[in-house]
Formats: sequence, C-alpha cells, structure tokens
Amino acid sequence: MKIIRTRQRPFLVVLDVFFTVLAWIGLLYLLARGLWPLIDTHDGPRIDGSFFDALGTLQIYLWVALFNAVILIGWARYQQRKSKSFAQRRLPAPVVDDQGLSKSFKLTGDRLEKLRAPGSMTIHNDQEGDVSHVVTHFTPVDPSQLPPPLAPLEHPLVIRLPAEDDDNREPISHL
Amino acid sequence: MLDRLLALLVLAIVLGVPLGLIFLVTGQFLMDFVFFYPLFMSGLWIAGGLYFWLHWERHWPWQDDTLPPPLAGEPLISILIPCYNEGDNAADTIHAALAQHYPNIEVIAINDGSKDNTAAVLDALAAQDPRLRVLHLAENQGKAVALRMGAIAARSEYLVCIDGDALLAPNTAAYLVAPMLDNARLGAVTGNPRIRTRSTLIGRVQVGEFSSIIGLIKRTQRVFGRIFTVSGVIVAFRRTALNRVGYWSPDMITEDIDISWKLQLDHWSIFYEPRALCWILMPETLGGLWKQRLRWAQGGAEVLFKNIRGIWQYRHRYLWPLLFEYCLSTGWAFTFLLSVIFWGVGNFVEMPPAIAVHHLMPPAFTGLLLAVVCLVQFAVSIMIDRRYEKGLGRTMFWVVWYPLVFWFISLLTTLVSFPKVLFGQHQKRARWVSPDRGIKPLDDDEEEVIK
Repeated sequence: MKIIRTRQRPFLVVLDVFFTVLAWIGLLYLLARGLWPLIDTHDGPRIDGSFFDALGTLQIYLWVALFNAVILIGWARYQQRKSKSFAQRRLPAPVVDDQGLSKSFKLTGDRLEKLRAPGSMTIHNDQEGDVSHVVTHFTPVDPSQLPPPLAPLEHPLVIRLPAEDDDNREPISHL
Repeated sequence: MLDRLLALLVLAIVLGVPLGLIFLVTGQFLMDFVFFYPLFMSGLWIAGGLYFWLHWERHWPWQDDTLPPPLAGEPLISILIPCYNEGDNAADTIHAALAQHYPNIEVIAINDGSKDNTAAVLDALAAQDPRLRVLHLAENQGKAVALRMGAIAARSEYLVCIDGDALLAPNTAAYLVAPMLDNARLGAVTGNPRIRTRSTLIGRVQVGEFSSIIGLIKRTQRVFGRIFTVSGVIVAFRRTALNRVGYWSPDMITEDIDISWKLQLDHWSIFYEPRALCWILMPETLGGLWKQRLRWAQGGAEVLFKNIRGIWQYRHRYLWPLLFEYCLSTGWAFTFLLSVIFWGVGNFVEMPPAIAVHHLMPPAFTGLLLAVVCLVQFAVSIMIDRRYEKGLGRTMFWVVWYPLVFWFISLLTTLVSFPKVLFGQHQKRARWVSPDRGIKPLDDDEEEVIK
C-alpha cells in the first residue's frame, strides 16, 4: 500500500526534527528534575523517605490500575460465558428480503430491480432523501432479445497434448 | 421546547457538577480530577488492549502468506463506496476494492452529486469491470443518504462500507464478514484504519494516535462488549440489522457514531477486527485537523443528545458505561476550562479559598507520571500493532507532541461542539466536505509501498 510522504520544504523538515528533539530533551529534563529531589538530600544523593513516599504513591496508582484491569477482564470473561449459553437460546434474526427492503425504502413498482441493474444510473432524491426517480444509463437487455447460445459441436476437435513428464512422447510436429 | 429545556439541563449538569464538587471539596479537587481522569483511562486502555492481544490477537496467524478465514458458502459481499469530489482518489479506491482476494464481490460506487470529475472517472471504471456499478445522485445528499442508496442497490446481506479515499487491503472484506457468519447477532464489524498521509508533523503524530489511542480504545471496548463508534471509513454491516434500525440517519453529522448506537440499542453486537486493514487519508494541517475533530466531537454530542431520553431504560444498561465515560470526558473538558478560568481570574482578584487554583500545571511528579504513562501507552500499542505495519516503532519519535497538541485540540473541540449541538439549529440533512486529505503529492514525490 502506498504511504504518501509529500515533499516538504527541507527547512520545515529540519524544523520538525529540531523541535521534536527539543521536546524530548525537555521531557527528559523534567523527568530528571522530578526524580532528582526524591534521591537528593542535604547529605548528598541517597534514597530516603521522600523516595519511598513517591514509591508508595506509585504503588497505590498501580493497585488502582490493577483493580480496574481485574474488573474489566472479569466482566469480559463473564460476558463470554453468558453469551455462549445465550446464543443457543437466541435465534438468528430473519433475513430481510426484497419485499422488506422495498417497504423500508418506500420503493414502488420495479424500482428495486431498476436500482439493481448493472452499469450506471442517476438517482433523483426527494426532500426526505427517498428515491423519487431513477434513470438508468445502460439499458438492461431482455433475456428474450439475447442471441441464442452457441450450439455444441457435433464432432468437437480435441487436441491432446502429451504429458510433460513422458519421455517417450512423440514430437508434436504432426499437430 | 422540551428538547431545549433538556439541553439546558444537560449543560447545567456538565457545568454544575464540577462546580458543586469544588465548593463541596476544594479547588484542589478540580486539579486532581484533571490529572487522575486521563491517568485512569490510560490504565484501562492499556489493560484492555493487552488482554485483547494476549487472549485473542496473538493467536491469530499474521504472515505475508496468511489467508483469511474461509467464508462458508462463499456469500456475495457488497462493497459500498460513497464518493463526493473524489476525482483524484476514486480510481485507486475502486481498484483496491475490486482487487479483493475473496472472489464473490460486487462494488457499488455512489457519486454523491460531486462537482469535480468523479462521475466521469467512475463511469470509465464501470465500463471496464462488470463487478462495479455506479449510482449518481442528482444532487449532493450527504453520506448517510448515499449509503442508503447503496444499500438498496446492493444484492448482498453483507455490506462493507468504505470512504471514497480509502484503500482496502486485499483480504479486508473477508476478515470483516467472517465473524458475521459465525455470530448470528453480530450487526457490524469495524476494521483497522491506517494512515497514509505522513508528510507533516500532524500526519506523523496521527499514525501513532490511530494505533495508540484509537486502536487501544477499540480493543478495550471490544473486551468490554460495547463499542462507542465504528470507524465509518472501514466497517461491515449485516443488512438485516441495518434494516431493523432504519439504516443510517440522514440528519446526523457523524453517521458512524449514530449507527453504532442504533445497532447496540437494538441489541446487536459490534466487533473490532484489527486484521481488516484499510489505508486512509487524513488531514495534515492544523486547520484541517481542527475541522475534522470538531465534526467528530459534534457527532458524539449529537448522538448523546439524541439518545439521552431513551437510554435510561434498564434493557439498555450495557450502554450506560459508554455513556458514563463520554459524560466524564466531557465533564473533564469543562473542569479543565473552569480551572483555567479560576486560575486566570485568581491572578487579578482574590478568589475564595474553596475555588482558588494556584497552579495550572500539575506538580512535577504527577505531571511527569501522566507523560510517562502516555508514552507507555504508545509503547504498548506499537508492540501490539507493529505486526500490521513494519517500522511502526519509528513513529514513537513524533508522539512526544501528542499529549500537548492533540489533547488540547480534543479539549477545545469538546468545549466548542457541546454548546453548538445543544443550542444550535438541528439540520434536517447533514452534509459535510472532508477538510483535507493531506498535502497533495507531486508526481515525483516519494511514495513508499508497504506490504
């Protein structure tokens, strides 16, 4: 499949890359700045209470996320089990036929057949968006007007080709 | 009149709930919700995506020579392609549709009153392949009416609907229809849209977004059992289901969200099939992206407003969580707006302590955690999605912009669209023009072919 990479002005491409690199550097800087106070104390870098506080907060978030995940997955498993037994009790909906389709779209006469004709057509719609008029561009051919099918030959000419793997085959010059 | 009153009530709730909670608790609550809600949802999407992958997706074979599941009885599949001013794209789209490996297909292109050369392109193509039929609508009617006309003309029970600029992968139609043959109550199957336009930063970030945000949300919703919306650009429907719900509504600006809710309100299931690939064009400018996202947000609000009266019935209880999540995200946008207003006003006027917002930016630790979780979400989704597109990992370089630009756009579009839908004049017919389909390639521009 074709991925489109339209040529951009090199200046804009460089600008995109430059600012994106800058954004990553900014993010990493903020990350470092956010983490550093957790390990930096008056006595130099070491892991102390604030670090464990932050870990405790993260742990709470993680437990909440796990709880949500368990609820979601539990619900999914329950639904799967329920739908298996439910599907056996539930019959498929009756398939809509042409009559039902005509009724749904308020089609009268042979309009449905006309709309299903091959080729192309122009449809005129009314204010409600329903079909008001159809003009077919390729006139469908009545089967009675079609030429009769070709009659089978009484003595069909059959050309038999020797098998490819037959070493004793005769040359095909006589054909 | 009743609708207007209801609209006012909804707006009062959306604005009043966060405001009431602030007074009840503190201004800090406002910022906590703004921070915790995306974190909560991100965790849920990662969990749902991973479960979908571990439980189902990783067991599905996916190699270059992998065949889609055989369709029992080889039923006819109708591919419907509504086109409006698609002269530049229609030929590629039709060729990709006709090139399906599944043999029993028909393609119906609906020219929705295009003003360009779409009609001539489609007629020329129809003359070449009898499997293609063309319906010209005398006037532009909107996508929903175009699809309705296509559904009448289609001869199959299974309708695959794509946009006029979308390219189907060779096995997509079979992947979409196969689950419907096995599940009698399956009304629709939505596919996996992949972005083709990658010229600008906006285009490249969307590649990551469609994998990470949209792909994971769809997988999670599939795990949950209800889908907020099918992707209108690539979806298959069972005609019987459509017939029961009255097909697509001509007055809804996003027919895909509307039909998803109509089907599920009628107790039809919807599946997500990540192997049903479809290559699509997306906006590559900020203006185009804004128009598109505003339409999406407006569509969500329209559907919420349309169903708000009937959805509370007990038999629709399975859709309540989707509604709740939608309301929460809308509430989140309004809460964010309130916190900005309170912070702004607080710079000039002394605010009551209960509603004072001192810092708009979250504290360093919480803000960073949000950013890191967002990146983890991208990493997980790329790990899952890379089988469908080689080199997807490279998009990780650009996604650093996602939290900043796209969240901001989502926030603003929600804020603009919600009042617009609630108090705007409801149109009888929704017609829209695709904002942009990427930067136009020149003849000698680079086009990379992915297999």
